[in-house]
Amino acid sequence: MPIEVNSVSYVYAKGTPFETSALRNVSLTVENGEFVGIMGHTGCGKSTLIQLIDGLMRPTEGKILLDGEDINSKGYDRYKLRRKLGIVFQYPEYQLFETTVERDVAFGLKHLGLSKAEVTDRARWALETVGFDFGKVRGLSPMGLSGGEKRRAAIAGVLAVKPEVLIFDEPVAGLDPLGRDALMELTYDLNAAGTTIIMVSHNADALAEYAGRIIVLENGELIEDGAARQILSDVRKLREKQLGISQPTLIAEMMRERGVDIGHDVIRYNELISRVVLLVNGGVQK
Amino acid sequence: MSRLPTGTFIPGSSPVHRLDARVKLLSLIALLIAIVSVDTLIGYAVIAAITVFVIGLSGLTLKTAVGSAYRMYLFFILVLLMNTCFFSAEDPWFSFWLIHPSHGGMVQGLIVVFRVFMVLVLSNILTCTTQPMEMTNALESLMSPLRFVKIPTDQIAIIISVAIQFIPTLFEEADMIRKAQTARGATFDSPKLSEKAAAVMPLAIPIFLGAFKRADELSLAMEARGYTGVRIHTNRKKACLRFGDYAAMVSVLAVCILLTAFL
Amino acid sequence: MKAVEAKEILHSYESPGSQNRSLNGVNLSVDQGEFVAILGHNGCGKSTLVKHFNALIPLQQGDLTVAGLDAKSDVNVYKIRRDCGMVFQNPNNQFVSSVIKEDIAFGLENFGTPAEDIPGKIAGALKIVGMQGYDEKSPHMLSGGQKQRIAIAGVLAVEPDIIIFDEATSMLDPEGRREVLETMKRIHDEKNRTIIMISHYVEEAMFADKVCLMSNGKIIAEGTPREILTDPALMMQAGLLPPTAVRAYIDLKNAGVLLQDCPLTNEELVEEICRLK
Repeated sequence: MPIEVNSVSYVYAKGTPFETSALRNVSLTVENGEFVGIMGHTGCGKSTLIQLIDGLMRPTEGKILLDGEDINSKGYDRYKLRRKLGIVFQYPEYQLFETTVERDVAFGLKHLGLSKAEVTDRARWALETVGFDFGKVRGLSPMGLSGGEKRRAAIAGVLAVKPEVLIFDEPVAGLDPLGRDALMELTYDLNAAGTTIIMVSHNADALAEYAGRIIVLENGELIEDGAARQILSDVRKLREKQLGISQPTLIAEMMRERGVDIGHDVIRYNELISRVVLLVNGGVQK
Repeated sequence: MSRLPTGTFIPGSSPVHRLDARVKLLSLIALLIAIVSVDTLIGYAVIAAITVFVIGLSGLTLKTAVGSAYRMYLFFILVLLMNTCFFSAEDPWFSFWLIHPSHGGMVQGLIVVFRVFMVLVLSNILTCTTQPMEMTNALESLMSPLRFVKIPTDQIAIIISVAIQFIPTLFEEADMIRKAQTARGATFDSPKLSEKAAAVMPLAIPIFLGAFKRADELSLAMEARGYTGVRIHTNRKKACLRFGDYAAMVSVLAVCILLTAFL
Repeated sequence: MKAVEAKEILHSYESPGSQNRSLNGVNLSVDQGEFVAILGHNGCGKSTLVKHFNALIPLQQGDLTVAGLDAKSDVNVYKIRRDCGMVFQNPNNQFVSSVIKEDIAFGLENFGTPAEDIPGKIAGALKIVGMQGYDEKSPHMLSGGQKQRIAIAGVLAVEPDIIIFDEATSMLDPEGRREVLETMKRIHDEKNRTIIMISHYVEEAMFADKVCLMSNGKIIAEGTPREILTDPALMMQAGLLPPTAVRAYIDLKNAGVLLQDCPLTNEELVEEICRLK
């Protein structure tokens, strides 16, 4: 199920005085089951990239391949794309529109050709996965839910299709700390169950805990693509590019400056704790 | 944004850009009156010539100036057909049920299309060469006499000003909603009419709710900043009209009067 | 004179006497020049509370004095709003004009500033937020952090005694948040304004003079950042996570590593760990 982005470029408003290049010659591959984080400044092209991958825009140059097929080629079955890829935009709660939560979640299932019973089952599964009591929430109006509940309902709407790949654009933006944790745990569980996750985020702590691979974009160009551990622990580079740095990484660096070394690859909270324990108990780390 | 909203301001320093917005607005109105009153071929030709002249003076490309009007070509074709077939004229080519196409009808259709087209193009030139803020100030200035008949010009002006500066935001949001719903399998460009109609809800409702939410938040912010419904302009120095403005205004008025009276 | 004095404030979005309340008897006192952070999970009532302070929400029950003015009296609404400004969460929904200097002038005009003083005040406000030279630009071209700084300038220009930041950083990227926090600190330090900040980012509360925790429409705790943020039980009650340093202290203790004092900031945590070595 690999996604291949081949030398893709995208230019906005081509031919007008407002022409801007959003992406320049970007190439990458995402394999099954990966958890890929995409980082970069606002305006670096991350949103453009994921919209191209999801077939919502056509690249000005280059190809996007899904399982080896060009998704923008003539005759490509768009519904196949919609079945396999799901995308959760920033502040997804704004896209709710139906009269009941159940109907809104079922909206994405229309093109799947499922029976009524199957649709209800999917809606139940999706809503329960995001933490709702199906019986209680199914008949409520989405507009009456709290902000956090709305977001979960919107995500359920995308999950219901059971896509193989889930793309998230700043999923925890605006959520309070407990809400953030709950949502990241959910993406972890989905990934563990086999869903490929591509997540655009500023939140270095979240990506450090969960992502296996990080891609960094700058001014429309791909400047980093590698293991999360390698990229998120390179404090100097992260600072230079003005990207977020996870708390454990910052703490480890501060300790290093004081002459106490717990290793150059600490990016996660639990690692920080266990390395410090080892250190203090006189053990040799790394 | 993959498409620019029609009539966006395009920066420039042409004579048209530099004209006072009030002059441009009044000139547009005068020209609109002329367009509607004129009914000779020479008259239409003069109007077309004026329009071309203004486009040239404004530094806009033909494509930009005509842009939004051109996109209405389906509408124009429909109007032409309707007029050709249903306009009551002597000597139709043939008669079938209610349809009686005639030369007279076709000419009438062409006239309507021409008028609408000119109106659109001239309005477009105005919005392309005038900053939204200038326009709102001009509107407010021109409307101020209405205050004496108890029309709340202050509030209307601020509504227009706020609405204008929300346009880019609303367009972006509409775009995102369209993409989000498309990603969930909605089809917005289906040729089937029934599907097109069904596609409206997932787009319209979030956009409306979003717009209301924005309006709500903005009105709260305005209240917090002391807005009480009456706009106090302590710093509005009336921009003086320059010689160029007077000259332009006088020439436009003269031409329009001549057109209306004689052609 | 206290900047804000609130006693037993009750509020319901349904009918005023309803039992379903968003504020269940809030008592709060803010001194002039204080920097207060109000923390709590989404829905605890913090935003509802601060909207009482600039009279956006009329007082239903309780007593409230803002900058010496009684909030119960309708006559005072206009004056309260001049003395107590507010910066909102969404950077996009605060502008009335597509030209920055016109937007900043909006507040100044509404509060009757004489015409000749306006340009000077606009320039002054832009300077404090670090956006000099942006007078003629459009807010739409700016980043989220810059937009918020312009919004702050719009509020500052009127020179209110109290400025409320209602989750002003929650929609910004890390750089934007940094810009806004720095501006907040600068306003407090240099201009000595009373600052009331609402957030659910606990790290932002570390610069405050006082931290208040809210939960279910009540203030459940009040104290210095150190007192409040290093108490995990309290934080949990408010539906918040303590700062990383505090969590590390607890987890290290559970693993048998005892630090001398509970650190508040990352710097202190590092200090404590290095001390052990």
